[in-house]
This record gives sequence, C-alpha cells and structure tokens, in this order.
Amino acid sequence: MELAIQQIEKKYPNGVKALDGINLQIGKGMFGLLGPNGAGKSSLMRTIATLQEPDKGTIHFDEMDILQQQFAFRKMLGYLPQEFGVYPHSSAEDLLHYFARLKGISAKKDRNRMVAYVLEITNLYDDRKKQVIGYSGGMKQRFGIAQLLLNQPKVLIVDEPTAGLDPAERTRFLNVIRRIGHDNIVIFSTHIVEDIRDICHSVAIMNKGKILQHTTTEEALKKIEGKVWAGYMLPEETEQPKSALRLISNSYDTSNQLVARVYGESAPGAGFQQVPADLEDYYFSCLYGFLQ
Amino acid sequence: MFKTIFFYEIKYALRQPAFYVYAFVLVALGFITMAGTAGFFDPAAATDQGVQNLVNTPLAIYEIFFMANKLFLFLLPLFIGQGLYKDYQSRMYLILYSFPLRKNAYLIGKFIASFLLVIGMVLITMLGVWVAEHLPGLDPQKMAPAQPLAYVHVFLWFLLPNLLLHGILVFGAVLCSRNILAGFGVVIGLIVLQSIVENTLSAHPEWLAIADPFGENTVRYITQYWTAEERQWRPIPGNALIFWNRLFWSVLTLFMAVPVIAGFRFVQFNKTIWRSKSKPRSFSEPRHPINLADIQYRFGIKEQLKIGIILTFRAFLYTISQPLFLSISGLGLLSMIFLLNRVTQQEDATYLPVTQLIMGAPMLIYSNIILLLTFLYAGILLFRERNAGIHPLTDLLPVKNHVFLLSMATAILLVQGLLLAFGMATGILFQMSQGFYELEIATYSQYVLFQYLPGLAIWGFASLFVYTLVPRFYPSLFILLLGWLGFGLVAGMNIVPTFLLFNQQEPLSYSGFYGFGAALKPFLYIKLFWFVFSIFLLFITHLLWVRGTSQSALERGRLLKKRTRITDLIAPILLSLIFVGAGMDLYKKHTANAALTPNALTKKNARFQHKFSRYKDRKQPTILSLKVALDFFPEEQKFSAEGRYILQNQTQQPIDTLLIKMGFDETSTFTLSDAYELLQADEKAQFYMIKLSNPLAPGEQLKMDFTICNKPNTFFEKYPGVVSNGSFLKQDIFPRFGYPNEMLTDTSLAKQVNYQATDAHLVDFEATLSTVPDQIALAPGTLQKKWIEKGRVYFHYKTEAPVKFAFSFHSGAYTHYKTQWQHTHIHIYSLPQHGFNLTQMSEGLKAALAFNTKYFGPFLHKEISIVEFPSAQGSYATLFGNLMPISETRFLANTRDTLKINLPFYVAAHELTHHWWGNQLMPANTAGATMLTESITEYISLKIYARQFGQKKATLFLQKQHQRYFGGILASQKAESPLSEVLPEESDIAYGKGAIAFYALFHYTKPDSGEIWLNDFLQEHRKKAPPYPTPSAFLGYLKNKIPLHLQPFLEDYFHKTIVWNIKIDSAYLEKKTDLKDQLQGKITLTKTNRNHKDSSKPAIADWVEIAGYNKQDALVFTKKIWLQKEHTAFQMELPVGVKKIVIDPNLLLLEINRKDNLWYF
Repeated sequence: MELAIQQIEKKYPNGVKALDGINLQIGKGMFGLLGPNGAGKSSLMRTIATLQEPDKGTIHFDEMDILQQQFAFRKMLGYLPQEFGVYPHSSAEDLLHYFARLKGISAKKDRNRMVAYVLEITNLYDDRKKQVIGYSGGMKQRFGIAQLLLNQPKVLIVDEPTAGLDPAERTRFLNVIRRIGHDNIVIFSTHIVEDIRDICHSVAIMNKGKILQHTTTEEALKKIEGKVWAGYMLPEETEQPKSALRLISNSYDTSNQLVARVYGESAPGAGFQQVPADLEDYYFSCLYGFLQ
Repeated sequence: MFKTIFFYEIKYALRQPAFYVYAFVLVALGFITMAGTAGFFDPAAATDQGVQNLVNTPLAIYEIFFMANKLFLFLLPLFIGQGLYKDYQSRMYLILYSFPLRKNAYLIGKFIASFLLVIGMVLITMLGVWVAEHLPGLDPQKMAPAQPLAYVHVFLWFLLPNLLLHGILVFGAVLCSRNILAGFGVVIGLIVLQSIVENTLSAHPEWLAIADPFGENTVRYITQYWTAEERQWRPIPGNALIFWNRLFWSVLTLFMAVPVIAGFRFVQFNKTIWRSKSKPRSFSEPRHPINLADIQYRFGIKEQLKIGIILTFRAFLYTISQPLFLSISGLGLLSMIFLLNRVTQQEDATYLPVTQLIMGAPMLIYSNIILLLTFLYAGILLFRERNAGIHPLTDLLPVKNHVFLLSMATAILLVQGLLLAFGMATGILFQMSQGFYELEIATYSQYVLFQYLPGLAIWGFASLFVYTLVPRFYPSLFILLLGWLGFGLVAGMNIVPTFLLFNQQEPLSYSGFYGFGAALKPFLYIKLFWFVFSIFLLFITHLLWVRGTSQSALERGRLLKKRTRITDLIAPILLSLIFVGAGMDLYKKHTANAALTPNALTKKNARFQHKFSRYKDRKQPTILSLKVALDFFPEEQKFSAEGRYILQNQTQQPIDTLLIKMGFDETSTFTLSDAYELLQADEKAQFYMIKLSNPLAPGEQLKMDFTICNKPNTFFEKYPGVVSNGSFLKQDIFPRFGYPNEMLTDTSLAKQVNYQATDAHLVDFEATLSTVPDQIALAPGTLQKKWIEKGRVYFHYKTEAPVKFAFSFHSGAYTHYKTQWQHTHIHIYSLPQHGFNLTQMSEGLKAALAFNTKYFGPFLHKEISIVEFPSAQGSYATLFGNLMPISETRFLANTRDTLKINLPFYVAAHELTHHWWGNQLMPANTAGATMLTESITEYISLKIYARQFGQKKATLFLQKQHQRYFGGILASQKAESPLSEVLPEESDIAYGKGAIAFYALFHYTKPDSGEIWLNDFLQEHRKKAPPYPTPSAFLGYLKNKIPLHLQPFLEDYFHKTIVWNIKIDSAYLEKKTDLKDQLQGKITLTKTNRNHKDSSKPAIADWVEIAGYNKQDALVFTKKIWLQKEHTAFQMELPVGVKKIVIDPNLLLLEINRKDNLWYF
C-alpha cells in the first residue's frame, strides 16, 4: 500500500506557487506533514483528497491514478478538512446516517452498525443526538473523524486537526487517530511538532510549497543529535539574522533570562552547553536551512 | 467612525467587478428601452398602425421608471443587504462586534453607503434613457419635446423615496435574520403586496392610490381623467395624494423597521424566534462489540439511483420547509385568490369560475411567483453545502456529479409540481366556495402539464446551468431575472419570431368547444424545442459541475477539457443537432405563412392604395341575392363553398368595370354570366379589376358564380373559422365589390350606401350547409329541409324576406334548447356543458320581442336562434337576420350575483333589438352611424331591463354605462368624438354615453314619447332603399320633436363632448311645520368640454334633479331645478324625515365624481 506523489505543482491565480514540484512516497502508517502556516500543506492535502486539481504531476495509490480515477479513489478516501461546517438543525447521528448512505452503505442494518461504531470510536455516542452545530471544537473534530471512518478508508487525510483543541481534547483526538492509523495510510498535517512526535512514524517538513525533508522520526533525531547547544543570550543578540547565529529557538527561563538553542557542530560560544535534541530542534533547523 | 465605515463600504463596492457589470447592464437596458420604443433600431417596424403613441411624454417616462423600479428593487438586497450580510457571511462580525463601534455609526454608515450605490445605479439607468431620448435618427412621430423635469420628478417623488423606504425594510430584514435571503423575501413580498392591494382596493381607487407601495396607482389616479391630448404633454402635477402615499409608507416602514434596528445589538448570537429540534433516532444494535468486516458498500448504478432519490427528497423537503419559501408561495396563493375574485367579478358581469378562467390569468400570475421561487431555490439548493461549509465533506462523497445534478433538477420539478398542485387546489376550492361544482380535473391537468410545468421546468434547468456557470448566487440570480424580463421585453417588441426567444410563448387559449384545439401541437412542439435545449444545458452543467475548492476560469476550462470525454459529448452534440434541426424546421414552418410584419403590411397597403385608390368612386353593381352551398369538414379544419350572386346595376349609368375583393384568408374563384377580361390584379390583397365585354346597363342583372375554400392549413396557422367543434364563418369569405369600405364624411355620398355593406342593400339569402353527422350546421333563415347523404348531414336554410348583407355559418355539436314567444319559435344551440343561462337568454329574447313589437312593429321572422361560438373568435354577440351568434364567454356569466347586470338576459335583449335598429333601420355609411344602431339599441335594452327587473336594477345598468363611458374615454389615446360623429371603434361612447344620452333626454319628456318618436323615424326609414338615414337627419328630426327647454340638452349630449361636475356646497334643513321642512342649499355646477379645439365655455342651462331619502334610505321626494349659472342657491319645501339628499339620483349627467353629490343631515 503506497501513495506516490510525483512532481505536483500548483500555482494560484494570485501568483502564489502553493506546490512546487512535490515528490513523496507514503506508506502504511502515520505520516506527519509538518510546516508553518502557508507552507502549502492544505493545498497538498486538498490535492490528494481530489478537491483541487494540480497544474502538473501525478498521484498514484498503488496502481490507481487518483487524478483520473477520482470516483474510485473517493470510495477508499477519508478526509478531515481543516475547517468544515454542518447543516444546521442536524444531529450527529442523523448526519452520519446520511453520509453513510451516500458513502454506499445501503443496508440499514449495516448503517446502524457502522454509525454506532464510529460514534463509539470517536467517543461521541452519548452526544449523538445533539446538534453538531452546538458541539465544542474537539467534539466537532471527532465528528469529522467519525464521518471519515464511515467508508473504512484506506487513505486518511487529516488537515491540522488539533489546532484550537484543549490538551485533554487533543490527547483524546490523537488516541482516536492512533487507533485507526494502524493498517492504513494516514496523512496528518500540522504545525505543532508535538502532534507528530506523539503519533507519527514518518515525517516530512514542508515550506513554501516544497518538501524540505522526508524521514522517520528516529532518523530525524539521529541527524541532529549532538548539534544543539543551549545558553543565555541578551535579547539584542537574538535580533541578528538567524542564519548568522544559527539560532533554533529561544525562550525565557524562570529567572527571566533568555535561553537560546543554537545549531552547531561545536559550541557556538562560551556559556553554551550541548543539550539533548528534540524533534522541534530538527524541524526548525530544517526550516531555517541549517540542516541540508 | 461613520466616515470610516461609509468610505470603506463605498470603496469595497467599487472594487467589485460585479458593480460595473450591473451598471453596464442597467445603462444598456435604459438605453434600449427608450431607443427601441422610439424606433431607433427599426423605424418602420416600430411604427404602429393607427394611433401614434409618443414615447417620451412625462407620463411615458413615469411608466418606464415605474417598470424599472421593480428591477431596482432587486438591487436592494444586492447592495444594501449584501453590505450588511458580508460581515456575517465572512464571520467578520465576530471580530467587528468586539470593537468599540457605535451602533448608529455602523448601521447608518453601512446603510447610507449602500443606498447611495443603489441610487448611483438608478441615476445611470436614467442617464441611459435620457441619452437614448436625445439620439438622432429617432422616429419623430414618436417623440414629444423633451421634458427633463419629468426625470427629476419621478426620481424625487417616487424612485428615491421608494428605494429609501424599501431599502430600510430590506436592511431591517437582513439585520434581523442575519440572512440576505430575508432581504430578497421583502422584495418579492412588496411586489406581491402591490398586486394584492390592487386587487382588493380596485373599487376604491383613492385608497389604492394611498396604499400602493410603489405609488404607481397614485399617478394612475391623478392622471385618470386626462384627455388623450393632455397625456401627450402634461407633466405630472404635485398632488396631495402623492404626499399621503409617501407619508403612509414612511410611517409603515418606520413602524416595522425601527423596533428591529433599535433592538439590534453587537452580539454573537441573534435571538431566535423558534428552534427546531432534531428527532432522536434509536439504535437497534447493541453498542459492543462491532464487527465491520461484513459491512457491504455498494456503488453500482442501482445504488446511485437510490442515492439520487434520497438526495432529491432531501432537497425537496429542505426547500418546502424554508420559511422564505413558505411565505413567498403563501403570498403567491393569496394573490391568486384575489385575482380569482377579480376575473370572476368583472365590471360588466360576474362570471362563473370555470376552469379556463381560473387557469388563465390567476394561475399565470401565480406561476410567475413559482418561477421566482425556482430562480431563488435553484441557487439555494446548489449552494446549500457551500453555504453551510460542509462542502469539503460532501464534495468527496463517492456520488457521481450527475446524481447530484439530476437530484437537484428533479427536486426543482417536484417543487414546481407541488406549487402548481396547490394552485390547482386553490382553484378547485374557489370553485366550490362559489357553489360551482363542475370540476374539470382533466382540464386542470392539461393546463398544468401543457401550459405551465414544461415552461417552468425549462427555466428550472436553465437556472441550474446559470448558477453552475457563474457560481455566485446574486450575480446569477440577477442574470436569470434579467433573462426572464429581457426575453419578455424583446418578445413584446415583435422584432423576432417569439419562438426564437428562450422559452417565450403566448399562453394557450382554451375553449369548451375544442379544448386547446389545433394550437396545442405547435405549442408543445415549441416547448419541446426549448426543453431539448434545456436538457442540453443540463449536460453542459454536468460538465461544468463545481466540486472542490473554488476555481478560476482557467482552472475550470482545464477541468472541462480533462473531464470531457468523447462519450460525454455524444448526447450534447445529438441534442444540439436536434435543437438546431427543430429550430430550422420551426423557422421554415413559421415563414410558411407568417403574419406580415407591420413593415411589410404598411408596404402592402401603400402598394394597394397606390394602385387602386383612384378607382374608389367607380360605381359598382348591387348584390340582389346570394345562394350558397357550404360544406364543413371540422376534423380537417376545412370548408369549401360554391355560391351565386345576382347582381344588378342600380345606378343611372352603365357599369363596365368591376372591382372585386375576395376573402383574404380564403382561396376563391369566380365566373360571370357575361364575358369579361382581367385588367389588373393584386394577388396579395386578393383584389381584381375586370372589364365587362358588354357594360351592364342601368337595371340590368348579372350572375356571378364563385367557389371558396380556405387556404391550406400549415403547422402554425390553421384556418380559424373551421374547428373540430364550433366552426364560425361570416360574410367576409364572400367576394365583394368596390374599393374597400371607408367611413365617409360627405353625407350626400354616404347616404347612398349603408354602413355595413356598400355593395348591397337587402338581399335574398339561401344556404345549403353540410357537415359531419354528429354536428348541427346553422345559417340565418328558416330551416327548409334536413337530410343525410353519403354520410354527411345537410341543412337547407332560406330567409322569409330580404335581409341585410350580414351572415354567419356554424357547425358544432350543440344541444338544442327550444321555447316560444307567442308564435315566434326560440332556439338556443349551445355546448352541453354551458347550459347555465339558457333560460335567462330566452327571457331576454322574449322581453325584447314583447317590448320592441309593442313600439316598433312586428318581428319579421318565424323563429330566432341563438348559437354559441368559441371564445377564440371573440367575446361579442351579434345578430345576422334571425341568427344570433353569442360568444362562449357570455354563456358563462354567473347570474346569481344580483349586484351585477344579468348579462345573458341583457345580451339577448340587446342583440334582438338590433332586428329593428340596425337591420330594419340601416344607417348611412357615415361617422355617427353607430349612434343610430348601438346607442338606440342600448337605450331600449335599458328600458327592457327596467321593465323586467325594476327601476333599481336599471339604475345599476345605467351606472355600468357611466363606468363604460368614462373607462373608455380615459383609457383612450385619441381625442373623443361627439355622439353624433361617433366612430365604429368608439363603442364605449356609442353604448355607454349613447344609452345615457337617450335616457336623459327622454327622462324629461312624457312617458313613451321617446319610443313613439323613435318609431316614427323608424317607420319612415325602415327597409328602404337609399338614401339611408344619417345621424344628422335623425338629430334634426329629434330637435323638432323635443320641447324647447331640452334643446341645450340635445346639443350637450349629442353634438358636444361635455362632462358635468355638480356639487352640494351647503345644505341645511329648517323645521317649517310638523309635516314640512324647509331645505336651503347651494350647489355648484361646472361643465367641461373635452374637445380641446373648442375653447368656448359651455353655457349652463341644465335641469338637475334632487332627491331626498329617509332614515331607511327610502325615496321621499324628487324635484328638479333649472340651473343657469355656476353657483346656485336653492330652497324648497320637503316632507319631514329627510336624512340625505342626492343630486342627480337617476344618473342623468355625465359626471366622474359623484361623491360630492350627497349631503347627510
């Protein structure tokens, strides 16, 4: 089971090149797509989800050319967009029944079972009779997952699903994703590094329409191990260009002193100590071009 | 803050391309409307025959902008509604409302900015009209001197306040609902409200003038009494009614909008009035454990079909449960009910609520509401997912595009069908509420299935196409409205054949005789033609179907290319081939015998006049007798006839040249008993000039044999006189002699010919008719013999005495009703299902026989027959010898309404009276001829009516004559003729004013003296050879008979066009004795001459009656007073107990405003 994306390009009428020659091979399991806002993640997601035509390139799911065989691909696709609305005055259960019907479950018995299943798995069973429009952010995202699961998709695309969720909701949500991500391809886009760290095996970092890195989380950590240094800096010092300083990130500690994390083969200066690298260091190092 | 919001709104709108598109469309529309009607594009074609209407008079400018006002209304939601709604739509309001905004600055800034944009659009439309008005190359006959003030007035008095007030309502509705559709609902509501107000208040024009939301009826009210001449130049004056109308709507608007606007708060959630609850569904399955392996997914054709059905019903149920939908369709039904009342209760009579009446105008109006709902809900359905934001989920569903599309198209059809069914049900309930139970469900269904549903479906499919092509709701809606109004407008201009304009067709007309008849096939063919096109549009819609994120034109083009496979193109190509083929076929059929364009007709007439008018004084022989054998072939819509004339030279000179005019719609041949040669022929005008080898000496006779048959029927044009049931032919099929009849002013010449036939006086007539065995054929005369031969039935008719040259021939499956008056047999031949009023009609005949034979001599035939004819041939009634054709519509009067004239009785009595006045007395061919026929006949009908139903009912009759006269002259664009010179087309004067004039004149003479004088004149002239009597001879005769004090009366009523206005200025009662009161009062009488060429002030020398009524409204006294000056003080003794006095209680004066003729004590 593999999703092969080749040379995908997309330019919007306003001149923005959202996708600039994307190449990706995505296999079974959780795949994280990490990138800042405006990196082109949603464009890529929409393109894979057949909601947007690329200008160039191909996407294959195994043997299937999904840009040509959209209908066939939609049968095995589950998509949770970054934002979606619902019909007013509809309960979760009603909407799921409706979607299940349109997703091809024609037998009522099957539909009942499937709807019950997705409600269970997304922990919405007790709220199934409430109007979706009145759901909290996390509930609505779980409803999004519930509708996505109805057709037992092989390819799942979830676009920044954790944005705006509180920590408890986020954990609950990620657990759901983890449960279903096992046997399928799950493409998970986010700008929150922790999401990836928690559930993804494979990760790609994207910026300005391009894939900067595509690796596994272990590989990523390995690559940056021993190259992250921490030390105190004055706020004025951090205002120099990042490339000159190779500054990964900075934050204030409890004594209100600025702690900077800097990328380097050796200590960038006196007072800097080597610290254990994490995925966030990797992400920023990629983004700022420290890692090639 | 106000400034910031205001300028932001203006700049925002000016950045939208749509703004410029609207502006361009409106300026173009304004330009085309004026330039088109002023003959800029096709000067000759735009020229009307006959009356020339100026297109830029102040009144015409008003009319243009009142029409445009309806279009401007739709700009209100587009600008004012959208200005507000965009904050909700983009959810900007969540942020915006947290700012330290002042409510007033926010609302007023938004409103004024968007209102000014609307006003900008209005001004630019006005500019378009104004520029077109000043173009070179316009038809000068259509242009009055420009009056730019008319623009200013209509803008300041109407457009500006209308749009301001309605804009406030739209603003309030959108603010309250946070939904732009509510604004749209307000607009449709206003239009429907106007129609409701018009229908409910039609009897109270001054209230209507105040209540009309657009002020159209206010201007109509102000200008209602303008003469034709005033209409050509007079500016609309300022008037208190305009002020009251504006004030009324201002108060009403503020009353509705202020609470909404005052109640507005910067809060996230609006207060909702109702909240619907979703019904819980219970699971039949246990919660755990769940095995998913065996869940079946199906995507086959059958499954897609099932999904299509689900989507259809979902869309259908969604639509019909929307409050906006329910309120607009409810208003539509309401306006239909009002219209039903109006079409059944017409001025002349109340009509039975038969199916064709219900499915005619009322259903047509209601179907327009259905069309508006179609436009609206096609878009709402198409953008429903997008608007709810759920489209990222639904677009990905494994459901094919065509399933989505077809389910939407089907849902629209279902909605239309449901609404039509509601219309039908309303009609049926209305029928039952009127006690009418002849429910014709089949006819209803035919109307729905043929006339209404296909046209609506075509628009429905086209709407889906437009919304898909331009996937933005309001621009698309605007395109659709523009298309609908635009095609209608162009169709009205008569520039291209109507069927070439998208989905435009004249509505079908129905007759009890033959249903929709032969017109149905071409109607359905054209519908099918556009239906094919709309299916083609659906295929294109399918290719353009939007799924996924919004796309640029470039992307859509690429997608279209990618999506389109050869197999997808087969059906559209095939459909377009069928469409083009059918179009060519239709065009060929249309041109096969298309009616001549006005341009071609003018040319043809000019050619004819040029060629033959020089022969117009050539003396021609007179027809002495006509013998004809005529065969009807109803199923084939054909007839053929053979006939023979005996002609005689009744002049003093030999006649060597004959001018022969043959029936225009028929193919005819002729031979003469003497040798002749053809000198000239105009085949198009069917006019021949021949020279007799031996001139016809004075007194000598000549035979002419002729054959006639109808021109071949074509697909579109069938010979109208012969139909499957109810055929009706008249004397115009026969050859006639002389240059076509013109009304003559030179009375010495005119006296030689009668006004109905210049080539015949009284003729012997004999006809043998044949038809199919299940029909009866009728002609004037008495049936001599009836027989069956070779499967056809024959009827031989012959008149007992010579008759006027006016005949008709009928064939139909009639039922035969028989009765008798003394020795005269009465027959009524009518449709079996139209037997409602046969007794009333025969009563009318009997009453007319009784009255007329008493005063004017015997009825000269043994029998009299009424025969019904289809409404497509007209709604009139007439008399041919002893045969009285009466239109189907007259058979459908509802005589149970006692507040109206008993139409069947009156029609029969009136037409029979023509036996004496019109058939025995034949006037000369001069202006005023119809005074001697119609005016006298209508006066006698009034007397008969009074005799039958009493004086009170006769007053009602007289009241109708007043309405008829004033209604007619006020609607007319031409200067009014006096009664003595009344033209045949001025029937409202001949009938309405004529009856009043004779009634008023004879009112002040001894009882019966009027009838005696009339009879003396009749006996002097009846059935006499020329010279024929002229109106002036008659009035001269009358002048010698009437007393001196009535002479001014004769002058005012018959020779002039005077209208009276009399008014009680003051009146009071003083007790004189126990039995007597003294009345003192002042009255003012003014007289106006409607002839603007006659500037002399009408002299006052008038009798005026005063009547007094007691508490029970019973007449206590009537007195007449003689007025000789404008202001008159009067006093008189009255019996006690008078509570009300009325001036002119018997409606003898021609007076528009009678409200000030009353005084209550």
